[in-house]
Formats: sequence, structure tokens, C-alpha cells
Amino acid sequence: FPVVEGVSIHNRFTNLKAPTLILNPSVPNLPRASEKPFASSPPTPPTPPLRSPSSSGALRNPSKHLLEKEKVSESRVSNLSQLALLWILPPYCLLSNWAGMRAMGMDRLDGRNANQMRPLTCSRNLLHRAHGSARWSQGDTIVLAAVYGPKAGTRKGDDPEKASIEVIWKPKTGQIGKQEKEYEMILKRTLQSICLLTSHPNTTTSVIVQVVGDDGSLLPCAINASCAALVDAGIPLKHLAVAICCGLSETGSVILDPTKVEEQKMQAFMHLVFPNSPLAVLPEGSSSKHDEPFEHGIITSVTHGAMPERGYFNCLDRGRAASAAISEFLRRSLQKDGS
Amino acid sequence: MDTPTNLVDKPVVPGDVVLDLSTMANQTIKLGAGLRQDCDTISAMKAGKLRLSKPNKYWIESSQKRYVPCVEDTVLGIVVDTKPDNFLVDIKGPNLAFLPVLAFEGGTRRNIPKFEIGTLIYARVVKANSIMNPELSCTDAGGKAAEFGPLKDGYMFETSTGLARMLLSSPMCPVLEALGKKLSFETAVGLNGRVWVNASSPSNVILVSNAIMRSEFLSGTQQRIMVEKLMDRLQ
Repeated sequence: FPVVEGVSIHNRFTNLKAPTLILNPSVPNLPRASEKPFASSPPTPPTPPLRSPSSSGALRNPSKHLLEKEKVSESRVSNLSQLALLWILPPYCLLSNWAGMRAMGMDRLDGRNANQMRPLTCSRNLLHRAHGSARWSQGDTIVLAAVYGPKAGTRKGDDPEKASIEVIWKPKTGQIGKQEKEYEMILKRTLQSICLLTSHPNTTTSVIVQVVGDDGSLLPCAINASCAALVDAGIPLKHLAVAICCGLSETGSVILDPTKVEEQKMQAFMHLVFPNSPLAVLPEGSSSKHDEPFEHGIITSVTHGAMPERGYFNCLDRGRAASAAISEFLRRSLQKDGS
Repeated sequence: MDTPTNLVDKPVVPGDVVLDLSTMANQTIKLGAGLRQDCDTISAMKAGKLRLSKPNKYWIESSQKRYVPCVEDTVLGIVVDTKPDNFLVDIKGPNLAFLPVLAFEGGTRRNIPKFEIGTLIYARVVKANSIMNPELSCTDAGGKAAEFGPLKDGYMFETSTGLARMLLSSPMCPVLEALGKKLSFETAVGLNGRVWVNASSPSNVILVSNAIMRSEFLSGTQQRIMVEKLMDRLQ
């Protein structure tokens, strides 16, 4: 019985509803174009290809899957040397949770631990014609944001007593489709909540986002870039917005700032936007109207995939802790003179 | 996080609370650009340095490419359209500004000036709030012309508002002083980030414009050195 290609076998058997399956029954949704042909009729499960889409939830033995992944990735670093890494790397790209890490015992492909973000860079005032511009990169994900405005006049449907914000998302390649429209809508709503809309009524501010590189965590990178560009343009803001992406694996462990490969393997991931932590000259212990500190608010939350409620709140806590570090980085980069 | 007691002369970002009004009773505080009142606190809207002019004036100093119109600012505008009652002038702000047709020295219905579209005008902002279009005037408060009006010849270029403020600061900014020692030229600086330069020969105009454009992020001595280098190349 010749075995030609993984896909055709799968289709053929599901069509015939054969009782005995050659394939591993716990890998139901194979990728359509699978380059890897299956070995001839093994009862044991074949090794899943490394870049399979998020079907990890269906695997019979999840920890075994993770172990296999570890073999391919860099060799496991002992806890002691990881401790050494902590002190070397600069503070804003490193957060660590020792107990959590030992419990998870998961290594990521690029050697980061679960709470570690990729190196951040932010540069402002790059574009000559734009009134404000910023370029934000997290590892290989690079986004360039340009702000024009405020310009006179709003679009027909919008409230003339407020400023309106229009967002144009330009992908790196390809035509503009539904995904881009969704990003535009999310970005517009997020920016509307941080801008002071009543300070320039009946004007339009345009934010144009150009994706330069996409390696996971694209929407948070774009939100950070747009916020920095708005500050560069001098648009009045209530506070800054800091965005982060968290991935939730099926074991319940949370990783921050996943790459594209990691995002596809995760059971669920979410984009979270928090307000930044402000400096205040309020006296210590002043019981203002807010019972909770300002940073406990949340501006936007976009989730992909199904996750348990506990997992969602877990991600929220981790994301909030990480947003403090990003907010500090944003503050320092805004204080440097742009040139 | 340690709470700073005083943020004056320190860099702030939007959202920072710079003043707590509950501790200051019976005081009048004047707020300038970039600050807003939020119940009992004053917080920043823009990123920049917080400045205080004693006794009670606070503002945020920042430099942008766009201009926020303020009363009594002198700006350089470009005529965009003409209407029976006023000229529509672009001053790099969120709205177009109106320059009334009669707002010139000795202006009556009989001698209305004729400006083409694209004329550069040096004017003073008379009314400015966020809701309405700002209003300009080509006379000073006493009704005299005082150098306001259209600017002919020369070359206009755009800068940031921070550089325009530096050029207008007193004592005179080092780059203009150094240029003035060797060359003769005239400039008009608009607080909205436009600078007009006129000199006897085009090469002088280019030299002065380049010197001004490059001086934004240089210190005083660096500006003088840069001007000297440009002069050496000319001779």
C-alpha cells in the first residue's frame, strides 16, 4: 500500500471513514500543504513537524511534545547560568519570575525565558514631512508610524465637537484586506481613548502605520509606535498607552512577547494595552478617589483562541507587570532629544 | 517608585501629575501650553520640560512641527484663499486663520490690498482658541504697520517651533549673532515655525538659511564654530 503524501492519505481515509487509521488520531488538522510524507503505516505516532499550526491542544501527550521541541532548541541552560544572564541583560528587556520558570521548565527557541521580552528600540522624528513619526521595534517586528495633523475638518459622520482620528494600516506585502481593517479599528479605538479629543474640536488627525517587519506581537508594536508618534507630533494625550502580547500555552504557562512561530504554537494569545505609570507630585499616602493605582486600568484587550478564565487573568497580571518596564523605557526614550 | 517633590525643569510625559492643588489654597496659578486641570491636580498633556516663571506661571516647553495658535504671537502665514471680508491664511495650525481685509494700517474699503494665493504675510495673532478659526492682524496694538504685511523676495523655509523660539530669544541667539558679524541680511521669524531670509545675493541667502537650519541641536559654541566653517567655504 504505497504511501505518497500526508495530505492525500488523510483525505482519502476520512472520506472512506475507514476504521483503522494509519495516522495518529490525535493530530486531526494537518496543514494543507504538508511537505513531510508519513512513514509507512506505523502504529506509533509520527513526530509532528516542527512548525505545525496550533494543533498542540489535540496532542495526546503535551509534555512529550514539549520535550521533543526542547531537543531541537538550544540545550537547556542550568538555573545558575540563567541567573547570570539576569544581571547581564539590560533591565528593560528582562523580567524574571524564578518560581514560575522552574515550574514551567520551558525553553523558547531564541533562548529567552518565559517572562523575557525581546530588545526594544524606539526612535522618533524620522520622517521629514510627517508631523510626528516613530519607529518601534521588538526583535524582528518593526513598525513605522507617522502622524499628520491636526488638520481642519472631520469626516461626515463624526462628531464635530471632538477631534477624530483616522488610522491607515499598510501591511508589508499584499493587498489591504480584512485583517488590516481589523487592526485599523482596534488601533483607532485605542488611540481615541488616550487622546484628549475635546482639545481640538472639528479636526482630523491621521495615523499611518507601515509594517516593516513582522515576527509576532505585531499589533502591540504598532500601538506602541503610534503612541510615540502622537507624542512626537505634540497631540495632547491623557496618558501614554503601553501594549504587550502574551501567549498562553495549553499547560497554562504564560510567555511574554511571542515570536510568530511561538504564536502559532500557542493555544491562545492576547494583546493587552495598559496606561503608563505616571510620575506624580502627590504626597505619599494621599487617599485620592482612586482606590487602586492608576496602572491597574486597562485600555484594550484582544484575544485569539480559547483559554480558561484563570489563564486570562494570569496573562493580565503578567502583562501588567511587564508594561511597567515598557512604560519606563518609553519615558526614557521620549526624554532624549529627537534629531 | 519615589514620588518627586518638584517636577519643575524636569522632563515630563503625558499623564504626569505636576501640581497638586489641594495643598495650595488661595493661590492663582496661570497655566500655559501643555498643561490641563483635572479636578484637583494639574497634569501634563505633552512631553517636554516643565518650566516655572515665578511667581505662578507654569508651562511645558516642547518643540513640534505644528503650531498651536496663541494670542499676541507673531507668525508667518501663506495666503490660501481670498474672500470678500478676509483672507484665509495657513499658519500651520489645526485651522486656517482669517486675516480681515481691513486689518492694515490705514485700511479702508477703498484700498483693500490684493494678495495673490501664495503670498507670505507677517502678521500677529489677535484671537485664538481651539474652537474657532484664529484671527490675524497686520497692525500692532496701536494700529501702526510696524513691519507687518507681505514679505517680498527672499526665501522661506519651515522649522520646528522650538528653533523659532530660540531664534527669537533675547539675548540674541549665537548663530544669528555670528552670521550678523560677517554678512548683512534680514530675517523674519514666525513662532509657527517659519523663517524668511533675504539678502543681497542668493549665495548669502543660502548660507544664512543653511546655518539656521543646522543650528537647532547645537550649543552656543558649536553654532559659532559651524558658522565660521560655512564662512570659510564661502571665501
